[in-house]
Amino acid sequence: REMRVSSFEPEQGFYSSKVLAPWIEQVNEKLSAGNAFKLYPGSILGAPPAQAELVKAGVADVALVVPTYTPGLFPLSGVVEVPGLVESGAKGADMLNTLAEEGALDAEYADYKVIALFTTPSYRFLMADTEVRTPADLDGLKLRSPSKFGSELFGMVGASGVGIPAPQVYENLERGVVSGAVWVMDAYRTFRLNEVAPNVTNTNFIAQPMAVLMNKTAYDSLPDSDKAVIDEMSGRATAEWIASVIDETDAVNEAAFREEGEVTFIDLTDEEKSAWNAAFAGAADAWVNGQADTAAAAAALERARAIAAE
Amino acid sequence: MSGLLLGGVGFAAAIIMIFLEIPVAVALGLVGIIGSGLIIGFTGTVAIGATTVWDSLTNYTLTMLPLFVMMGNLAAHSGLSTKLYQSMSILIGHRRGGLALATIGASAGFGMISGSSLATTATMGRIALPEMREAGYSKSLSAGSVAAGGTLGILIPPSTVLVIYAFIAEQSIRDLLLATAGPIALAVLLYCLAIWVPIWLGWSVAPQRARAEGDERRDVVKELLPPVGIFALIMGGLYSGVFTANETAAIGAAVVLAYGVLTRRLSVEGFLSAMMNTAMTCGALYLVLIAANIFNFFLALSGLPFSLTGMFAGILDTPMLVILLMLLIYLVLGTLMDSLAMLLLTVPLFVPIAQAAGIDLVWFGIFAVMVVEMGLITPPVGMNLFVLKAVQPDIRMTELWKGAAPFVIADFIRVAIIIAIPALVVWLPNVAM
Amino acid sequence: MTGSAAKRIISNGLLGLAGFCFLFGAGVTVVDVALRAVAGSNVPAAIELTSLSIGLGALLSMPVCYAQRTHVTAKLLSELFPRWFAYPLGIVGAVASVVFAALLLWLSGSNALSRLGSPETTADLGLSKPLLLMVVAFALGVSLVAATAGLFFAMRTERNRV
Ligand code: NA
Ligand code: NA
Repeated sequence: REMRVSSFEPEQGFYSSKVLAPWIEQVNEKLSAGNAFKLYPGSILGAPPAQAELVKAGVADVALVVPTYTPGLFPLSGVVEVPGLVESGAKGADMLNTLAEEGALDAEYADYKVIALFTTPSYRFLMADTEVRTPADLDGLKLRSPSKFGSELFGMVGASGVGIPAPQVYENLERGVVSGAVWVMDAYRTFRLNEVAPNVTNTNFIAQPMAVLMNKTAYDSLPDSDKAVIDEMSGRATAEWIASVIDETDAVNEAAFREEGEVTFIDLTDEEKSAWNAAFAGAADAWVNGQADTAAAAAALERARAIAAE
Repeated sequence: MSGLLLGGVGFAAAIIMIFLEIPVAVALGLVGIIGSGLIIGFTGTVAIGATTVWDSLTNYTLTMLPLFVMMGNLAAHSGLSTKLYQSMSILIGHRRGGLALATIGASAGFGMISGSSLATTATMGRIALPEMREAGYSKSLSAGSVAAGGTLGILIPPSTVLVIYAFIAEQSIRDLLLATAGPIALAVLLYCLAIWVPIWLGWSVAPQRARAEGDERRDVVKELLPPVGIFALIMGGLYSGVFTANETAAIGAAVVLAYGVLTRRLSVEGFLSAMMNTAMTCGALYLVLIAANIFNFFLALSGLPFSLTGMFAGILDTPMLVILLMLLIYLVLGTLMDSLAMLLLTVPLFVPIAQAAGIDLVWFGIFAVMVVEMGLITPPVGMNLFVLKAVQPDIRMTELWKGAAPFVIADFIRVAIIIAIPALVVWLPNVAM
Repeated sequence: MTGSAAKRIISNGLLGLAGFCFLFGAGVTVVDVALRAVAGSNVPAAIELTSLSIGLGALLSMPVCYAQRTHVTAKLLSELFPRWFAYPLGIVGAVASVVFAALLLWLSGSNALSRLGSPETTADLGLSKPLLLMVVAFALGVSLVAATAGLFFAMRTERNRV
């Protein structure tokens, strides 16, 4: 049967074209005759926050899910949002997969067959006019809010968050409603923010957790040979492959924009980096206190810190 | 039944139901729910239906719609729209179709503060229709100019649809925005003709008044100050970055409310009735939006739009055929689908085709947005016409279609012109590089 | 006559509440913009407050739309040939509306029930999502009642209206 893979991104978007499409191609080659995955990109099957529900209900058989879009459903996956923990996709994938292997994430993914858990690289400050070097440079500025927790973090450095849907960030940066946004490098490609926010600083701000999840019943109803094919294409190895694609694309994007010279990269010294860590020192406690089960959150955070330090 | 066939049957069923006067929301919703159920089973349909209801109700961008409608109602009840149209009548009422021209101009102006065709039509419908009727304009002409004026809102920045196209097609937003200038100017020009020609032919009525003299004209300019001032205030706040395009509607409604209260022109009864009218209109509109989303989901699921791309295989070496076929597809889909949904569904499929056929992607973006917007006013089913019907229920459907016809012809001519002279679109972005 | 008085009071009550929701949503946004411009601070969860209150407003006005049958409708045949078509098509439309209202209630109701106990909350205010879904389902239930009333009114009055 044809199995639907849902992506909230357009077909040409990064995760649709470089993660889901290749995954589908590789799996389809090995599945038994008559079974195949097909990509439904561009939020055709539902809005970004609805993806977890859609895959759980079987509207999609597989979906790209952003766990933080549905607060409460995947609480501990959000640990990677604590600033300073995740630098690269590789580190983020390692962190989430270790937590999963140790059972910390069992409860939150109990309803799904997990294909892959990974994260974005750390978000960068993409600013219109301000060259951000120290936390004080953000004082009094308005920034596009990535999430409620992100706005809380802005508050720690005297900035405030303005809620703006992703496609409208460009216009609002251009008109000066906000002076900047936090995002991955790919926002320059996907949302053309390089045209209006050409100053980039990487302070190891939050990272976004991501998951590719499969409907449990759909998986269970497959013949064993097909289950084996999917098992082989899921778990830590797949997450590491995805992370490598993420990191490589990030690096290629950065190199291309450095080469072009129209974007200003503000490279921080070690001293400046530690100033950022100090500014967001309260972030970890804020994250833990924001979770329903603070004990579990504190334990996950401690483990995540240990993995970050490895 | 294959998904594809089901998609086609569902599409036809919805159109038939709409003609049998089943409410648009009910027709689209029933086909969407039953069709989806046949394709993915009813457990999945429950999830998709429920998430669609929730997502439509809590969609932040959609909040503009009730708030702009509220602004329109408050403007009508505090006498602002009467003021605006009476003043314009004195200033340009001696010209043929003067108020209809003013309506196109006002819609274009409204397009600068709103990114939504539906919001523009709903608001201008409330403001302009009663006033044009008061001045003796035929209903068809009044309705046609509001509905057509509303389609300008999406081409004139801010335009969410164009920005989304830029992401999907990986084109510069700046280039695309510059590329709208030619087509917008062309639209205004052609819409003037769409107003004049039927008047000359005696198909629509637009009484001309005697030219007002010096003093009266001077006095009336003063009268224009409040509406123009309020518009300038909102434009100023939007373009200087005080608020976002999404927040504009709330600010607009608040400013008009403040004007009504401070000048004591808005009575308590007027205020209450403005709020209730807003709710009445929005209940109907949200039902249509929810149902349209479920219907779009069903069409996507059926694979109908995907299969359309197969039709282009043999004609890629003749760009003109590619363009004409896309035009045809957009017009057919445009009968029932919402413009944003249509672009989201088709642009990822059509951009590679356009590229393969050697069509400039900035040009193609403008073309796609224009053609999709045409769908909003092409009979039989056009969302802008339906919105007008929701705002002013006593207008007859036949009058709406008759009124829209000249503007549809104007749109066809506009599309033909940009096909014949692509430079009208791509010249400015190329020069500005 | 008491029936029509009750109808008017309920309709106006719902529309009034809906209007209040829209006004509240606008108010939150205006205060948020003002605070941002003047004091460099925000209304907490402004976007969510606006979206939720306006969504609630839309939801509350739906029953009135069903009961008074002010749906967006392409009335072609009954405008051209009112004697033949106005009554039967009015009934067809009202019956279809009842079916649609029932389907929407079924979708939302069974989904809300299946999600009871889920820990999901809204992003900014932290409101319980299952609870909010129940509110939506309840309002759609009121819509079904209103659609049935609309059908009843259509059968009784449509003939006289022609
Ligand atoms: Na616009
Ligand atoms: Na149409």
